[in-house]
Amino acid sequence: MYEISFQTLSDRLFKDTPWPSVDAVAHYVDNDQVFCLLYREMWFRHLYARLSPTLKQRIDSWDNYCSLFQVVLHRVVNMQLPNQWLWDMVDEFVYQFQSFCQYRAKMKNKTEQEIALLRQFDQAWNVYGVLNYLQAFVEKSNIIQILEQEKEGIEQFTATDGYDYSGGSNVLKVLGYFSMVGLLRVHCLLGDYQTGLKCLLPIDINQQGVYTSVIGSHITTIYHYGFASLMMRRYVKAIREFNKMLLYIYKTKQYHQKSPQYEQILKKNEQMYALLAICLSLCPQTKLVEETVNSQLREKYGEKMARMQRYDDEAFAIYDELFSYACPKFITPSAPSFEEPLVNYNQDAYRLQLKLFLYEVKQQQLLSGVRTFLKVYSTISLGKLANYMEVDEPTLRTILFSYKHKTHAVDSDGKIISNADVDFYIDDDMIHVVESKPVKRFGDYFLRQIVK
Amino acid sequence: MSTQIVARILVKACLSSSLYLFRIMYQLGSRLGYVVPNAFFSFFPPAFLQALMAMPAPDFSLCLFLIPERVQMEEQFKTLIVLSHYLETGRFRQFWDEAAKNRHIVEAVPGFEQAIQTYAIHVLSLTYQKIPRPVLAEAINIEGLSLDKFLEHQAANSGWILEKGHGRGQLIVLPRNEFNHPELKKSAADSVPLEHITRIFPILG
Repeated sequence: MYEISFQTLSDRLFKDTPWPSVDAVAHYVDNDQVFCLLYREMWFRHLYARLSPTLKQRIDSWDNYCSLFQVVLHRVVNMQLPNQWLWDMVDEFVYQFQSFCQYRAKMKNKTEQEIALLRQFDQAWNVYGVLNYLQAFVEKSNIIQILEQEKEGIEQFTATDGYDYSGGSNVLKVLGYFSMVGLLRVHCLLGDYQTGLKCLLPIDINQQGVYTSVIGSHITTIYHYGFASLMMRRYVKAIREFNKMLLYIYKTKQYHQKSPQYEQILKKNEQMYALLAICLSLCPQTKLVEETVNSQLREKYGEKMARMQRYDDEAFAIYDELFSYACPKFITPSAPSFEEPLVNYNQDAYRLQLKLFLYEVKQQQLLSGVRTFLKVYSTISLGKLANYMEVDEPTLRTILFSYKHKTHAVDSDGKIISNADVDFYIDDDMIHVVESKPVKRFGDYFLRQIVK
Repeated sequence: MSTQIVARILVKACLSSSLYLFRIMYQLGSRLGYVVPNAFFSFFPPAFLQALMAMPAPDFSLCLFLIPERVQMEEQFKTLIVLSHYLETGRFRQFWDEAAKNRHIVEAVPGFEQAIQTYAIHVLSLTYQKIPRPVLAEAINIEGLSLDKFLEHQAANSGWILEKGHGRGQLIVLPRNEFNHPELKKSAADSVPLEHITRIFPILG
């Protein structure tokens, strides 16, 4: 009923209008508190999707989330809800927070009434409040311990898709689980990529899990994981995950054509292709990309990728264009100052992330040239290479040091991992080139066949 | 809570690599209307120096993602960003020159010089099997007798070997690792995580 009927009724009866207010329906459900809170959550979700919420409605929606989450966190909730619904709740909660921050940051044309409301309800959609609720779900649900115990065979969670078949409720556990993805998303919006990835650590994205049971959750997880990895220079990880996700969408999108999220799926698909183009331009590891994905990528961005690797002014413009298209809608979470002249600051966060990203691209400008020569030679002296690159030897050394540093990232365990497609070492003044060979993995394949 | 206390907590948060905590405290400072520059920023450079000292870890870049642009335009930050740029692009000579011009900043944190030397040696170890003495000297900013002592210490404790180069002075043989000796690279195809193996234990049993 949730997945189909609500959408059908919305399309047929409430295309451009809100659903009936909760006061109009409450007596039909004996004023059941939980029902009313859930209904109101969907009421606001419909409002955001089809209409434009006023400031008062945004604040009321926040109040509703607070009431609903307090019930889930502090009372015994005796029901099972579909995973789709629970994911939509977390997803919408973060979306409305993001939307509020964007709205609030456009101060220039705010009316006096709006400013008065913002001052009065300064706790609404406060960043600490949002993070605290998501964190509270994670902690109160014990989901991290549950996932740990599942590995030891003591608990069952993934096997039942999070549902409780022994008479209990899945609500808190699954909200806790999806909140980890919610936290990853919020931290990415704030530019805190390291913390975002830490929040996702309990979920093994190399395996199927509850996060893959809902397409929206699956895409959101991988998109933000890949983006955070890109910003932390873990290009190989980003490429691997984008590749898997894009292949999955390619194979399964036909089954979601009638879903209300179909357009979002397509949008995220296009954004991930743009991010993959960026990753592969900075870290040419096309061997990591499946043929189907590669051919789609060439069609969409083949020409742009060739130009990006020239690292001239046009290249930076293309990096700018793709990043701006594909990046999350960054936010500045702090409240505006009401004393100063009112200005719009909604673009500040995005401009900072873009600036720092392009700064990183600029630092890698000379690496492409080195790569070109290293592919051609098996050994070459420093003097000769310096000559070909039209730089002096000390400058060449700094380029080679930079190449090594930029292609060897630090992973979450503090280990050095190589992103380099072409590598080298130097013996005195002679460069020896090492081309990485694709690694054939047989172990996982045999394990899967044995389990079958 | 005084500005000084907030600033100290922020520095501590940055030092503990808790960027999330850092962000919360920074926003808290802004929201409570403290005068953010001046007294606050007197504590900032040391915190960011600590982030630079963590290289090759990207702590400094991660901090920059969180600090508003207008704050990064402050003079002390600009110097740190320049220092970071030199380290990120392997320009050790330029780094040491710039650090010498800004001793009042870099001397604020004990162990800063040694930490950067450690990072420089890390980059050299990724790059060189055998490195000429002048290249090493420039990267770690040690020369003459001090460098001799340093090399003796590394030879005794870290497996460095000193060789004579081909009439061009000393060559230092750096310890072998998978990045400067590719034959040492463990084939990923040989390893299967234990968690994957546990799936077939019931069958093997």
